[in-house]
Amino acid sequence: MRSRTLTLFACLGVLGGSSLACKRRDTLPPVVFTPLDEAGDASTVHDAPAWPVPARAQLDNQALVYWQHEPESPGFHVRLLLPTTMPNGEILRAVDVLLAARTLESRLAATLERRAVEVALSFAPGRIEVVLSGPNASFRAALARLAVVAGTVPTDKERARGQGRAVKDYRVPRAVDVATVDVIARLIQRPPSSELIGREELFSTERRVDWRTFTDPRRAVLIVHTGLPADEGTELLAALAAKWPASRGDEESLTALQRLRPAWPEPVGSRTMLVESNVAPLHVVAPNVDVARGSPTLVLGRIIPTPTAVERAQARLAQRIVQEALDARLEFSGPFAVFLVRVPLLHSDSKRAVDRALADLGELAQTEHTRGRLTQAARLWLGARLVAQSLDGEDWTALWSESMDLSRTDVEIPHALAREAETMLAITPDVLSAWMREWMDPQNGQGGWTWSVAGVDDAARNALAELAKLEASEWPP
Amino acid sequence: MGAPPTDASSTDFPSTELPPTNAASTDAASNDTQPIEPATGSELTVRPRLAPGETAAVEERLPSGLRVVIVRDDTLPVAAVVLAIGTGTHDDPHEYPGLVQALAYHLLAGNYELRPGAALAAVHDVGGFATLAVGAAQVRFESLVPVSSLERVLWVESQRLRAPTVNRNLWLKSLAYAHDERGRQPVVPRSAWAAAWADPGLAHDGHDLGRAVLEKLRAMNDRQISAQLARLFAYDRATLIVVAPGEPQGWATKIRPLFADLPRASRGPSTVSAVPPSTANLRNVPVAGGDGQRFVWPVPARPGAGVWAKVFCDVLNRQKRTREEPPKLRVHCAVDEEPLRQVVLVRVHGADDPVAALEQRLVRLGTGRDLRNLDRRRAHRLRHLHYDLRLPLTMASWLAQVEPPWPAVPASDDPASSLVPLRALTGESSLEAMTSWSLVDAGFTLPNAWRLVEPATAEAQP
Repeated sequence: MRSRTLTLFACLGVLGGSSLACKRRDTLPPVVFTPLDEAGDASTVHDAPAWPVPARAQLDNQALVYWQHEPESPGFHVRLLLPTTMPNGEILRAVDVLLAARTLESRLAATLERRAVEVALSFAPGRIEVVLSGPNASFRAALARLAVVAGTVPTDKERARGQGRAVKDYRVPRAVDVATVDVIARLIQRPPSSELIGREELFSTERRVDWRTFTDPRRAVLIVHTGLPADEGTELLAALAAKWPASRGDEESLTALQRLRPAWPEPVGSRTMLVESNVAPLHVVAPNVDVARGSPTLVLGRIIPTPTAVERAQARLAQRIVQEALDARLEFSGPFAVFLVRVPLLHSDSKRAVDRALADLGELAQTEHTRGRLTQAARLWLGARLVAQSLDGEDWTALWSESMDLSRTDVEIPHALAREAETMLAITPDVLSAWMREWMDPQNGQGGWTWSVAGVDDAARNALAELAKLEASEWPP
Repeated sequence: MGAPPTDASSTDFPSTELPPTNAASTDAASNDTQPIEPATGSELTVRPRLAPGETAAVEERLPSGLRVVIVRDDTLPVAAVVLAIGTGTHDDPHEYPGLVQALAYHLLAGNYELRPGAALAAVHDVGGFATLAVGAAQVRFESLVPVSSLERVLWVESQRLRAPTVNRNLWLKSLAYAHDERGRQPVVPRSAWAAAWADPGLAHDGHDLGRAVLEKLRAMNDRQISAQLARLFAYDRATLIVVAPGEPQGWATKIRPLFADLPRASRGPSTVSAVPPSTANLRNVPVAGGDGQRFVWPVPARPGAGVWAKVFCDVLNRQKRTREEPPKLRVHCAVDEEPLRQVVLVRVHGADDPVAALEQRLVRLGTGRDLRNLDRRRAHRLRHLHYDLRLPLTMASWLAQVEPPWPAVPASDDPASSLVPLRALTGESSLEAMTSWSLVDAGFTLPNAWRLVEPATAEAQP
């Protein structure tokens, strides 16, 4: 399950903008699977799934399907991915995304939970993911229900049920959430108030996403992990396509990443640092939502370009090294990643906490770590990912989703995790050291840092004013 | 390295014999002891043979007495390892409830090969997941690791029970950890649980390390602790289960040398979960608050028996009241899934004669609509069992909690000799083979049950 922090990214997306004239037919059009690439099965690498390359098909309704066949699997996983940017370029607000997602979830769960199918939601940069998991006996029913739910507009009652789920699970954001959203919004140039959900807008009954556009199969990617071979699933998919029509418009075939990858804004060329010279202003957040009482938190972050697999592996390994000392996070979306460090201000001396965090970060960036330490950090990350996936149900579609964020093209996706594992384990201390000095040193490396703080009182504010110029960050509604 | 002998000179610490596995009924007036009729799956006392194309598991017994089970799972490159020891809180000496729990935690303190915490670090340092489960009749060390670290974890398990380090500081730390572990509470009163299993050790809460008990445990000296560890935690009463990618026989050849230097087993394998023999009549067990409306059956740990108990409960809970029955009659059934000590609890409300009412319900199970429901629920549970066991750690933990009635073969150079059908180990085979009438054979009849009554009632009714 992706971090809630990245609910923010749910509002980003890019869509090629296509339309399809939908024709009713008496017979189901055939579903033709084509190989994703000719490279064959993903290489067997320890600490990465050794799965066969999936078969791919574009259905008659333009939905893109990846079919992962695991022989003798007793169950299935089906993952529907939808972008959170509408075809007209409108980036949905987080609240709209959540309400639509919860409506999808509740409509599916109403029927499928009786058949022992679990329905779950996941959020990733620029997209939502609805996951159905269950025993093989329920596979057909799951696909049939998915088609109905995606292909029909929910009734008011169904929307209300979805809203009820969202309200039930709502948690008042804490200072750390607010500061994190503020930093990310600045980095990706989005209004922060669109990225965090307030209680009032959650209760509003006026918010409605254009359902048919939101679930348009031309925007959708479906990943299936099942014991059924692809050629035995064509009839099921053809029936799914028939019940889930596309909106009218031009026909265009887009890859999975073209449908789902958010449009990253070009970095604005900021040279701001966090220590000594050209220090970025520290934004003191005054959000327009209720914030839970609790400790204040400062969050600092930056965008890191990760155009190649090697740089993505370096970024991940660097984050794992930093995480041994600090609360450091990294989230990829293909050619870019967002790097964050959270600094809880638990003690009365807020400045000292921040000074220490910055000093630690700088020292970690400047240190050439031993080969043993790098290997240990890489193995821990790679192993923990696999073990977590095993405990969560051994869902190949979840790993596929993660692989998408590590890839530039669809062809790279099946091999992305194995490539990441190989690359991480091959990184040498001097290479990583050079990379960290450039991208993780808040004093001497590349500029482009920003930071925000939330939940501080006047005393902490005065102390932090010694670090940087304070600027109020007020969120307009 | 041989296990140190039990120190008979530890006079402050009486040794405790294991409870007999087939204790006679505690109903003193009944001299009619009838052995339980074997279930329809009685052919499973013979080691099952592998059919062509059937998924196989390795099951063998090493010269040290350790039973090894290996299953293949290629879905992800992760491996589950469970070391299950046939020792539990029911082995606590009477004066030291909680000792087994404390000793189990103390095994995390390492030995001459493993520094304190090294066993856990071997799992955590590679991103793995580890747990310790202390039950009434079993202690399990479970771990899930990337398969690249499996050999290391297997080595750790081969060392875990050998001459654990014992010193005062480590012992006090172990007691602190053990004190925090509360354990689960059974759904039946403990005295009833103990009676149903003819296992007096179940009558106490082995997870509750109260102040008085802690003081006694703290006062134990190193020799006493070592003696109890050697007595209770030995490889000849353990099973090692591995669920991992790759050929099971390949892993077997790697596992055998790890335990080759252990002394040969001095005793045969114990059947910890054999159900006591039944009698001709329903038996009473006095419990505080016993109202005569609750009935308990022990459930053996044979493959499939636990699921069959759930099928029994599924159908019993769905039976419709007939016109002849009292208008307020309600019957509710639940299964307590304590490993190797499962019980079924049935409550009968709203009947003047709960025994007669229950008897009628049990008779109905074998006829008409209930008979069809039994088959439907059996098929339903069977389908879901196959799905539920898809994850390696779930499979390994499941296999640790069943005791097949057939003997494990000694490890040999013939790889085929150690293969058994996986479905036989998980219980799927026996669930398929059982018919509805097996319900009777499975022991869910009144003579096999214990009725919970008030103490005064138990005295009045022999």
